[in-house]
Amino acid sequence: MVSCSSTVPDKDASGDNFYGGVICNQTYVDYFWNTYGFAGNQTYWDDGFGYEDPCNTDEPLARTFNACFLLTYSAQDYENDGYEGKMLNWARRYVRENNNDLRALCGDGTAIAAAFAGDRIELYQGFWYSKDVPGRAETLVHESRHMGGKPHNATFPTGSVFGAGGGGADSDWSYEGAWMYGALYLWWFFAEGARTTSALRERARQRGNLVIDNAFATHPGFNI
Amino acid sequence: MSPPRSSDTPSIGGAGDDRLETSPPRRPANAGGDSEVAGMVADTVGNLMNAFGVGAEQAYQASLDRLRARAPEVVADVGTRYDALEEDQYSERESLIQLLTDLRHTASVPVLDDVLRRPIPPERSADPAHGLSTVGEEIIIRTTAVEALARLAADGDSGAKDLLLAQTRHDTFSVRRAAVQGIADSGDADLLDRMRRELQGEDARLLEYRRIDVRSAPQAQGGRFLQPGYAPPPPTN
Repeated sequence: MVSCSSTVPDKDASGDNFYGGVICNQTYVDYFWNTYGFAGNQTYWDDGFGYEDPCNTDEPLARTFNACFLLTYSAQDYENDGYEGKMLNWARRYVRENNNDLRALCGDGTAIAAAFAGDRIELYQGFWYSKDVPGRAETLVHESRHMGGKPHNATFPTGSVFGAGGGGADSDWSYEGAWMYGALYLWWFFAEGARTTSALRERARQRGNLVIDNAFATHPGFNI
Repeated sequence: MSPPRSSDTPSIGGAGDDRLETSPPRRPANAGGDSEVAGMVADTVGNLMNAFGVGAEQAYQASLDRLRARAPEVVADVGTRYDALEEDQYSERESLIQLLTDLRHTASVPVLDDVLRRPIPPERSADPAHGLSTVGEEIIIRTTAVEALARLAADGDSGAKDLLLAQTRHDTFSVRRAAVQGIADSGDADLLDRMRRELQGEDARLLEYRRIDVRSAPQAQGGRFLQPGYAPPPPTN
């Protein structure tokens, strides 16, 4: 058994207090559990990870549900998730169709998530306690892209905050890799995110631009 | 659809048996004290800025209107709160700078100047590619400050214009990029001309990096790529 501990950051700043007030509803809990790859993984989500207390936004399960809620309901017409439309609408479908095994683990304390293509996504402490709610939704999109068999294919550019010269970047925007999917989701959330504030949408914009500036071997030449 | 895995049968061998303990949530600093303005700032940052719901934006904007009426006091309170936060309280620090961005008041310029002058601390993460890049979080705070300056510059604030122009020489690429795009989008021909004269060498390419609408960006394809049929392996004796 691996044991770990985390200090919960301010839940107003992360958005957890607000989304947490909504997800504490058995209808949502059942839907998220059965839709986004939690089902069958009770052993990964208990022992302090929230299975016994899914409304407690100090714990990982509720904080993941918050991201699932944002992912599911941020489009004005969220019921339309056709792939021919906006990514803000279909990102939830993409995550549910490309992720059937979502697990919670300690990680090394700072790690956020990892995808084992075609098999499972693992979420770690950094996912719940260093990312705000939109950032967590971005991570679910990013890792789901890996699940579908799209690995990173380049090294980070000079000056990248993710580690210049190290592996883990995408070659460019047109590769349509995990970084592009995450950034594009944040971009749509900034542009059309519904039932939220302009401040939270602006935060998504800034995070999306950080990805665009640092995660592609060749900068796409545009920003949000 | 993903193959159903409805059973929550415990795994053989105790897989996934990690245990997590959480410490109580860190409370926001009350550095602003108990004044009326401090209460207004705390309520806006704590209760309205990141809210959810149909009326969330209206409530946030109404609060900003009340804060603008006492902008100098509000800015001073925000500066005090910012200084009281720990380095690793990235979201809280970003929220305060976002408040100044949305406040859109000239009194904010000195605080924004102070934030942008501070050196970015070294990377605290051992593996920023797979964990949180603390330098990345610091950059987000600064690009948010640049956005605040860009909005003020677009309103004609001369101090904001000068400070925004100075950011085109910042050490960090994203800050320079945000400043260049802020000036390019400000509609201020004189400021744009000054920037064009100052941009040197490699940074001249930043003029070609434009902010575009997401509807004009190349889109992702979507689709289901996960191969169906995945199921846990059968238990072994």
